[in-house]
Amino acid sequence: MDDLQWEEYLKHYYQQKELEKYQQRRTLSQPKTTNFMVLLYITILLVLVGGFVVILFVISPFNLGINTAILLLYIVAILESYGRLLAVKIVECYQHYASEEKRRRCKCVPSCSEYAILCFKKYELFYSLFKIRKRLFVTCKGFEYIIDEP
Amino acid sequence: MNEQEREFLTAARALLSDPNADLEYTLAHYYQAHEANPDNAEAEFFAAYLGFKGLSKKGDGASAANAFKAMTNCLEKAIRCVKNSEGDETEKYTVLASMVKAYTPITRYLFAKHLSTTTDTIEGGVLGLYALGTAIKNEFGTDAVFMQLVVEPWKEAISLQRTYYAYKYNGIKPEDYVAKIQKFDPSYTMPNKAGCVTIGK
Repeated sequence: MDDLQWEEYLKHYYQQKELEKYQQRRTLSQPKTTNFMVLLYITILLVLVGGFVVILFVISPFNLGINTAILLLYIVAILESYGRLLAVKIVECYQHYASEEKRRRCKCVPSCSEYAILCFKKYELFYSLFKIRKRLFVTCKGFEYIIDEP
Repeated sequence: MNEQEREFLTAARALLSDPNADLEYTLAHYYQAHEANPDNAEAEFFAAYLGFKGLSKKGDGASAANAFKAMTNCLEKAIRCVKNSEGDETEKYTVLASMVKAYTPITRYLFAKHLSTTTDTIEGGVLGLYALGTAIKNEFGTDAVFMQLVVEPWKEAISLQRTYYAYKYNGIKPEDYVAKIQKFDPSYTMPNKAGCVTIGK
């Protein structure tokens, strides 16, 4: 260990103090997404999937195997497009209802909910869920403030 | 304060504020000031601090942690010594600011580098930080300029208590100190416990 470690640590220490001050005083976004709106989005998703199932199995000339494959492809496509939008609305609904104390406990910049929204907008659904899980259960559990962009 | 002590202390303070000054040279001046007057707790405090820096440089973690304990033991006496020393308020403020800047980050450093037993480090450090702020307030009052030096170690102590909440702190509640800080800095809020997904209180 050399002297640079103490001086380097001081820079790191003062950066931590700045991040702590930022987290305590940052303006929290207040989306207007309510429970009712999320339920509406879920209902639309069910209608989109259910409607397609009915159309597929009533009208389609293909056999059951091919219809199932088409259905699975359709579900994946819907989840990757509409599903990501729904996921963003669910996170916004959390931001709408969660207390300020709960939202300010995050040790990361951007906060975990903001990170989730950015992930869903940037990446595919399942990869986003993987990244968010890692953020919540690994990254945001330490003793220090971290800057962690998606 | 005798002439020799004054000379060495003045030189030591000037060297301490110079970032390019040699550590051993500065330490020698504080040792000389302490030798001239063994009751000079300010010299004792900074000698321990410079000893801590030197020992960290050599990689001697256990001795560095002991140097930190020596700093903690002479905190209140050092503050009293600064209060009673010669020099104007500006000079005293500069010395106190150096003490606060020296002492405040060390607890987190020792914990992060695993240089001491965790319990001793965190608990002792937190109590020392509260004691530092309280000692400055008791000696220098609630003047706005000196209150900045009072709240800085208190904020760090609260942050440490909230982060490492598994340790005991002799019944000290951070909420009490938050209320005291808010009288001076109303925008201050207590940092929350670690992480979005936290097990326990």
